[in-house]
Amino acid sequence: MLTARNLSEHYGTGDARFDALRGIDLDIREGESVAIVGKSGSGKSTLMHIPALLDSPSSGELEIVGQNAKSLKGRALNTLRNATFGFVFQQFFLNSHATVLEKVILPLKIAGLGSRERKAKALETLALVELTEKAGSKAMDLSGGQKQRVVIARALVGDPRIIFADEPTGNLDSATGAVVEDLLFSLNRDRGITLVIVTHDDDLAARADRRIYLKDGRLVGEGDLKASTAPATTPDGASRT
Amino acid sequence: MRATDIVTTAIGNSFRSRLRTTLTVLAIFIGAFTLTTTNALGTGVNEYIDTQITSIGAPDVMNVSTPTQASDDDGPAPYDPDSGSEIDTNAGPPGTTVLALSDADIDEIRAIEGVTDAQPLVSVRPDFVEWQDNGRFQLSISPFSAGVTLDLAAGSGFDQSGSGFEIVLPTSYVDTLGFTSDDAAVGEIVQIGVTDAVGEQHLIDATVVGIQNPTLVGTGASTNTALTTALFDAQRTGLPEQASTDYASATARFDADASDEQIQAIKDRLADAGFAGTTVADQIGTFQSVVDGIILVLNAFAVIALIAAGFGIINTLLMSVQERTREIGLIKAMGMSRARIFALFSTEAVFIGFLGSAIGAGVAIVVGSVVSSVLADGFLSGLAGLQILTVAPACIASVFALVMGIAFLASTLPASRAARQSPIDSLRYE
Repeated sequence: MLTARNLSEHYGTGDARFDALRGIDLDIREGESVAIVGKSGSGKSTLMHIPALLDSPSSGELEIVGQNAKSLKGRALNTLRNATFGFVFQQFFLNSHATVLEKVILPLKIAGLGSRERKAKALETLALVELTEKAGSKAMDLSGGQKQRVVIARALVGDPRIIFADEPTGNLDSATGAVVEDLLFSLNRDRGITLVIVTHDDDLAARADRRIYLKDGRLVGEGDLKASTAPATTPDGASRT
Repeated sequence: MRATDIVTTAIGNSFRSRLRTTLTVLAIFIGAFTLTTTNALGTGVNEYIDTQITSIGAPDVMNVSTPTQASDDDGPAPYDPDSGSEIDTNAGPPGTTVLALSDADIDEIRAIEGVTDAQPLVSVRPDFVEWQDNGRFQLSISPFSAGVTLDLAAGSGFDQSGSGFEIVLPTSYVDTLGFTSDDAAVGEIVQIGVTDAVGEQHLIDATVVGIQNPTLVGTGASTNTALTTALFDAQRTGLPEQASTDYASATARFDADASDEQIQAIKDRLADAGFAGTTVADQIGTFQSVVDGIILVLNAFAVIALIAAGFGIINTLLMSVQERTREIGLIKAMGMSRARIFALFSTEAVFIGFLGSAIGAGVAIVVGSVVSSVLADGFLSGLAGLQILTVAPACIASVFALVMGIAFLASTLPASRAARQSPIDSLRYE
């Protein structure tokens, strides 16, 4: 599904040079759920942006769904983004004028689906996240958990093979957070959608099949919940229960 | 994204910041309104002039005279005892003189290929016109009489075969002379007084055969050939023979179906023979050139206003792009292509341009029709049939095309900036 070799990413030059990633190897299999865990500044967001083709690495090789990332350009890149990826980013919840339905329709609109077809599909997806009755509401009338479910519906509507989620429960209380978590992992389990979650929340990370610990742009440990209860090397501050 | 989705999304986006869009639309409105109005003014005046040319008609007549030789380069032309004397004319700038035409010249004009007939244009200066002792009033005879189609308010015009003395009076004479209406005047006999060279006054009776609407080319009365000849003969009684056959100009007739090229060919042949020919259309066409020139200058000002509005569009869109940085990143992350993002923003600009020009043209049409009808009944009532502001569909279409074109050009900078944006930049944007 996703193979990265010796990925490095740095911003700026000279004294201002900042190395976000330093030689990361990463493999993600189809249907897997992976949590990328680390403190802020550890490079965990960057490690998600690069496989999601939102950012390009300074060096290293990346292969995604069988294609070399460097050769992906123009139409092929746009089609891949539209049809294969789904994003659950808090920052991407925008345009407070649009209704919930319009937000969920957006990826299908970009894909060029007809208005009847995309509306039906969006409503179907809204039903899945149990927000059918909120289809006509605007963002300001929604609770935090509802907003996040709308974002998940939008990520899901295009039948993606992989969903990237950046702090999906970051702004939610634990009860609503749990609902959102359940939703994401059920998608992974029932539909076989590969799930890549960036988080600093260990409870959330614990639910993933596999955890990747990052510190200062380096892989400091990997944990497989089904294989062992603790990683070989425990990263600082990542106390686990 | 489908083209229709791009258009509806762009329209929706333009209404997201209502105040900003309104202000930009207002700037475009001012330019579009001005442009439509100045164009309407040009169309109105030119259409009126066209109507005048058509109503005056005389498509088969040209005025022929002998201009004095231009002396800019070679100094004054040498005296030629055989050439005619110079005569002051009303044509051209003050002080313009033409060489008088003699009967021999008239024969020469007649002989020119394409000219079917030539008649000397005699200058008739009657003293007064009078009807049934209602008082004597000054009368001028229009120099355009020959071959001219009159725009008649009443009556049937000249009887071509008749040898009686006939006159067509302008509408302004109807009340003055004491007639109750235009129609009542037709068929009445008026008396025309003319003084000859030795100071004796002659009275000639003429039948009113029509009442003529006022025109651009003066409010003189028109007379038929028989009456003109009679007046001219009376006027030159007592003049020496030589002086009585000097004419300021002549009217040459040619085939009424002649094309512009053929007319030009006749003019060229006249010029070769030392004459200058001008048709009625030429004389009135000069007005149109002046009107077109003025409209061009006014249009230039309107276009300057539109260009200023174009910078307003650039500013508005740059702000939109800035505001929607994250959103642009989102739709890019969702697989929207650069070309479509560019199209999204340029369509928004073109829509703003469309709104501005629609409102501008709409208001211009309303204002134009109100102003035209108010002026036609008041200030411009003397010029019957003049709709000073005439909004032509072609003119509206060109205003729309121009404004939307400017809007598109203005959008290229912000739209390409949006298209170039990378999704990751918008994620980092705070």
